[in-house]
Amino acid sequence: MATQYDAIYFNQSRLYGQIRMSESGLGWKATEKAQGGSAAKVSEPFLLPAKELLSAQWSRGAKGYMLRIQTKTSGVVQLDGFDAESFNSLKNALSNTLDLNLEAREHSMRGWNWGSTDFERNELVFNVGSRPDFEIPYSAVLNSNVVGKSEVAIEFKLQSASERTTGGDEVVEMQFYVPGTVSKDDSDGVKSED
Amino acid sequence: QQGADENKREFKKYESYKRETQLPPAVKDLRIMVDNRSQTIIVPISGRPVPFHINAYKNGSKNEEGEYVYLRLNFSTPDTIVKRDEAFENPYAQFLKSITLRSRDAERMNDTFKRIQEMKREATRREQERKELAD
Repeated sequence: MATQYDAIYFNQSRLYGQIRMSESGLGWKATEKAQGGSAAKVSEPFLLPAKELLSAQWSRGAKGYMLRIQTKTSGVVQLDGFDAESFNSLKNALSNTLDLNLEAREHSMRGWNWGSTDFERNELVFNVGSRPDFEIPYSAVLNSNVVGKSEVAIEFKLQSASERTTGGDEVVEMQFYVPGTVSKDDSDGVKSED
Repeated sequence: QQGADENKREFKKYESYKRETQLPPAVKDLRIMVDNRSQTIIVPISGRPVPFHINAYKNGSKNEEGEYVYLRLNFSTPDTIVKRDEAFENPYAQFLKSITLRSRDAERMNDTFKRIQEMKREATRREQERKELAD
């Protein structure tokens, strides 16, 4: 038995597509036609074998509600554009076909810029209070640097305009103020993590 | 003394939204946007609309480089907040200090940056009025 959902965006793809799930895994392929004249690429079809799946979370996305799947070796997969009402059917489908529990997560809407960071398996999570605020998948990171006494900069991977499969504005760089990276017995003043 | 204090911001409790359902529908475009009603800048981060209240915003800059317009938003950090102990329950709190975004849509980026600056000016003016009334 296969279950499918339409008009779903895969990892911020410009074009929507369809996801299908069966006992063997989960797949997505673009179904929307690219507008004439656009030079940007269409996302390749994507297949995730069942043995790759670790956990699944449901949260508010940009296009609607977002299914995020944590995988063993393929990072985090983001599928955005579900209706709020699809939660139960998706939860049942994931549970019945892939033995995966769908966990609902509410994100912080406070608008604060301070909190704490967690390094999880596939991504860095910035939390505000007890709730996640945003995530940075490691696959999106090009480089990171210690730029000041208590500052860390993260550079993001960018796509050239003609190669771009994703839509919207691109994050280029983020800087974090991280107290406690300075230790008194470290003459450089900076403790290295690696 | 006075001048230095004016450059710093006191921490006040604030909240952009109570619930996720209050986010404006336009967040679907994954573009940086301004929501005047909630005094909030919404920034797309890894596919998620993330609100930042105007009180958390310090200043910003705009750069044109090739076919792209870059917007850099700077947020308040402990060096810009007086009474920093009140800013967070946890003194080890980490801060998002800045975020830079880019787009080829120069007109929209220029307009968004203008609206962010106007919203900040307005918020600062109201805060000033509130202080004067309190004195």
